[in-house]
Amino acid sequence: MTLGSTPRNGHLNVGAKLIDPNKLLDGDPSRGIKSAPKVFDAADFDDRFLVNPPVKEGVNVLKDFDLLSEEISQTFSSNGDVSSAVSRLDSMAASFGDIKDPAKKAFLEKEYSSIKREVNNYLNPKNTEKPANSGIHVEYPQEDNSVIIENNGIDTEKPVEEINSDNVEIYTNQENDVENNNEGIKAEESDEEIGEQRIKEFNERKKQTGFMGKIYNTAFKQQNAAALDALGKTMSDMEKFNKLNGNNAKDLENQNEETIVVNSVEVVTPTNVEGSAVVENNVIDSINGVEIVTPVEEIVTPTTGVINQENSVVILENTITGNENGASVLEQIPNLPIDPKAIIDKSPFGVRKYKNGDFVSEKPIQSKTQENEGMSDVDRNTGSYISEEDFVNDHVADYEKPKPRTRTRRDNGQVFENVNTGSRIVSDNENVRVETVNNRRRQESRITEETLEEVKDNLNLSEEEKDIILENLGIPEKDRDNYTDSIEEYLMKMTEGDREFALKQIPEDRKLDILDTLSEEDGISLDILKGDPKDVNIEDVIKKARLTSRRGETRPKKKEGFWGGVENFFDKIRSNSRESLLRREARLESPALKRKLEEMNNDVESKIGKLGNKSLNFLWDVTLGNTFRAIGDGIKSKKDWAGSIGEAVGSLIGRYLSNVGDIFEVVFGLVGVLGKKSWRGVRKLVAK
Amino acid sequence: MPQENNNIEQQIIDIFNKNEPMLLSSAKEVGKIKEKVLADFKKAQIDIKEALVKDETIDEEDLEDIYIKSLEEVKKQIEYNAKLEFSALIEKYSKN
Repeated sequence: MTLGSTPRNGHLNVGAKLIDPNKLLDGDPSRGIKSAPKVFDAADFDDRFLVNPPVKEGVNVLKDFDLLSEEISQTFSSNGDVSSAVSRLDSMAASFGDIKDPAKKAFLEKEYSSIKREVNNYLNPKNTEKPANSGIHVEYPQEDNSVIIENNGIDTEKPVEEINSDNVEIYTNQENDVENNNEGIKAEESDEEIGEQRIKEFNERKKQTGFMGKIYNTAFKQQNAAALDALGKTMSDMEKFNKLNGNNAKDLENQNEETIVVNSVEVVTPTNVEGSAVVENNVIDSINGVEIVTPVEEIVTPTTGVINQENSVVILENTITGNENGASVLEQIPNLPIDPKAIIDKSPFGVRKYKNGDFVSEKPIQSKTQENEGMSDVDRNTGSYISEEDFVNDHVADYEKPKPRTRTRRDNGQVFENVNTGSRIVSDNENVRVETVNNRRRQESRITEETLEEVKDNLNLSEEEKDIILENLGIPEKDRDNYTDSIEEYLMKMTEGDREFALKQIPEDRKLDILDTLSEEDGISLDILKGDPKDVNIEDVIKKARLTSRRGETRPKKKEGFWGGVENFFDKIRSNSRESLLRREARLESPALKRKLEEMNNDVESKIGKLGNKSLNFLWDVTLGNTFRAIGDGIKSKKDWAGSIGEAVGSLIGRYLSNVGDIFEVVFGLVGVLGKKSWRGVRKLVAK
Repeated sequence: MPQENNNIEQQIIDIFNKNEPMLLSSAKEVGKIKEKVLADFKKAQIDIKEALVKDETIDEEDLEDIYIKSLEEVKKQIEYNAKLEFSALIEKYSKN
């Protein structure tokens, strides 16, 4: 397995059919045909695909694809439900087989795969919250052009420039390495360069295109009017989309939504493009944007040994596509017991355990020898295999040194802080560890049992406070009694969150209630209630209230303990209840559902309108109809009936115009509404 | 002839004078019923949504289906009620 030794998927060679899009734009497609094979990057291919006349048949598919992509993207941003869009996406993907053009088909399949991956990350956020010792994770390149490698809960930040085969060796096929005498593990220098270049390209591409914005953005970047036209988009649309996507991508990065488990590889089935001399019969694994090509003959077909069915423990051997999701492993193997209690997946990458369908742990295969010296999980000094913990420490030690390109701040001789990224290197007498901002934030917000006990001991919420909080959590009054006696336990069950967000959820008028409660119970000066409630810093008020005990005792300032507990308290309020409510609310405000509601509203309006008109018509029929009929009967014998009617109506209108100006509008409107019925009635009657 | 014309004119004016208040009133009532029905339906949408959001015994995955089905039911009920109201309106003005 060699890093980047063969072209990655997406480099498509269509041989004699290759067409230069720039020349196509000149208006003479024939001039774009080249005879010599050439490898194009997928980005170039996208645009060529859009503007190439011979593949116009795909434009509609692309448009639909494009709209679905946008819908999914927007649904992500609104935290909504993507199931409907994904379902349609899947249906669309099922029809890809009908597309004759192999290049187009490959392109759409690649896009589909990419979108599905994003959707899966979105739908399975648990992937981003691995338990301790869950293995190694790598986050996509960050804004500062660095990559965070999380190894058993410890983050290590690396500049992209420093990511090379030394960093990816931890993903390699250790078992095969032994058999191949280490060949294929260490990338060649040239491959390293290729790997770095690809990460750079990937990073740059991600920055440029944002979240699933490839089709739009490539078109926009190229300013390709034909492509835009084919998509039915304007330049303004492109700008808006790019802006939106940029925000999405940033948000997702901030939320670590795009964490990828290193051993979770995407296996792309071999792509055989007609006329291609480049894409061979390889399987291409994509790991963190770096694709590793493995010839098919090196892939061991998954085999199973279902043992001990009584206890529903399944051992899979030699699986090739490890995935942190046990279900996906199960999908590869038919006839497994339903819901096995545990799966042990012995892949070439290591042994992974799944319990009740959830990933539990991962251990490297214990098959190391001295030959593996230099590998990450072998002690570099002794050459012997070391424990996972030592392996982690050993690995982390690689990154202990401050980055020379960054400015560092030294604090008490113990902490180096990278002021560019916020990452810290913290050392004490025994350990040196690297803390990224995200990692630190997670550590700080982690709630231990002790902290929870402190929350319970120190919150001492009054019944009124509990009530206010429960009310603001949206819990109906009738249900509040269920929580009042155990609110601490209730809060303990909630997940972490953001305190500021929780405070913002408290309506302004409720702030006064809280202040009232606090002032009564804690003796806070009512002066604080003066002025606009919006200006009141509720957090400070609560802080003051807490510092003054209801029993008149002054509480010690326990920033770590008590206030940490208070922070956790608010964190929990937000994350478990508010997030849940917001998520549920977002589901009911999806664009598709809004459209459905709009249709229903229109339908109701239409039906009620018809019913109303019908009623009015009926009333007019029985009133004006009858009276006009009577008039008609009276005048039909007159010779000059037309003149009589004309004079009568003219006079009538004249009177209304001159004497009842304000009523005229109503009457005129009424006559208009009477419309056909009355006038038709008059004509009908008069004609008798 | 002028006398006859005046009579016809007077008859039409009398008819309008007699029926105009009722026609205006009924038209207004029809308008009110329309507005009320639409407002009720939109309020039902909000109320049902809030209830569904808060009722965590309902799975998130089922929310949309239940929401739509509930609204379909409400819609039927509202349209039925509207028919009744229009019928009552007709009955009321027919008697006049």
